Amino acid sequence: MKTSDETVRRQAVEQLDRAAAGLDAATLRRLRQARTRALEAPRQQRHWGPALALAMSLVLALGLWLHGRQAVLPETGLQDLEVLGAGEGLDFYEDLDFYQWLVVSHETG
Amino acid sequence: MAPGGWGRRATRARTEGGAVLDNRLALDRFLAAVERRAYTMARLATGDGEEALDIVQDAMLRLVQRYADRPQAEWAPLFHRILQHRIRDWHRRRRVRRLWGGWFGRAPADGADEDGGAPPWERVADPASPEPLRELARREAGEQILSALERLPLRQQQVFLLRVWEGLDVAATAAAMGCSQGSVKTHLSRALARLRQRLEREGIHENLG
Repeated sequence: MKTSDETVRRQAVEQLDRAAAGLDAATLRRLRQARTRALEAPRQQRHWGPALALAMSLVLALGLWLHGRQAVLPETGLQDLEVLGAGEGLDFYEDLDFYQWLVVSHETG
Repeated sequence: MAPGGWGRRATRARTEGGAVLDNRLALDRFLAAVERRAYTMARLATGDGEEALDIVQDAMLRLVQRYADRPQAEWAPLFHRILQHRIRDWHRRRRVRRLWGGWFGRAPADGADEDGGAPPWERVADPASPEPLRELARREAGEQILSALERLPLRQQQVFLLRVWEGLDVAATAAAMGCSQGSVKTHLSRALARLRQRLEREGIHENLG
């Protein structure tokens, strides 16, 4: 004989209800004690201060990081484009420090 | 300070005191209404009365300490979420204990009942029944159903109890279980299939009528 899902549900619920209703006196007494202990326990207050401080620190750190990325990366990118687009040879760029020094020494000298 | 100020403060203190008392009474009523079913769920999940009591007490404590000030409508889903979480914790800890016990030769017996007694549903009597034999058959069949429920994989058992017994909808069950709604549907479908097979194999439905 085929059993439908509805039959399974109904029979299980009947047995579970019966089990819950038929708990022995000792178990019920201990459940009451557990309830009383829970109700008498001091309640925890939610302290939002630390969480708020952490969230603000994270936002600040993220902002600084993004700002740092924006400040450095595009500049490097533009410099690279400028180098790639220029007709100078690679030797010129390798000796750039030397030319900078030459300019400075010429201006001061 | 003006006497009116003291009066207002006293009135506010009385109002707050009354609200705390009301809240405590409401919590007491709520916990009293769910404690038997919570215990039965934990008992089925652990197979152990003492562990079930500990789990239920822990769930009650956590609800009161952390969520007593939440709207009463949220207490049931919160309580079940805590309870199911505690049950899963218990199973995780037991797996670790068994692993260690296996290495050191001290594995605890599976589903052992420390008090050595029969589960509560086996002690249930129905003196009002007019047909003792039929009642005996029904009781045995009932025990078999509970035993089949007890043997379901934990997630299937939890979903079945929350959806079918507690009557939570799919979304509330998923929230209590910390899983997706799709998982809830899958677990319930598998649980029903297993229980149905068990009922058919053992002819339990015939005794329950």
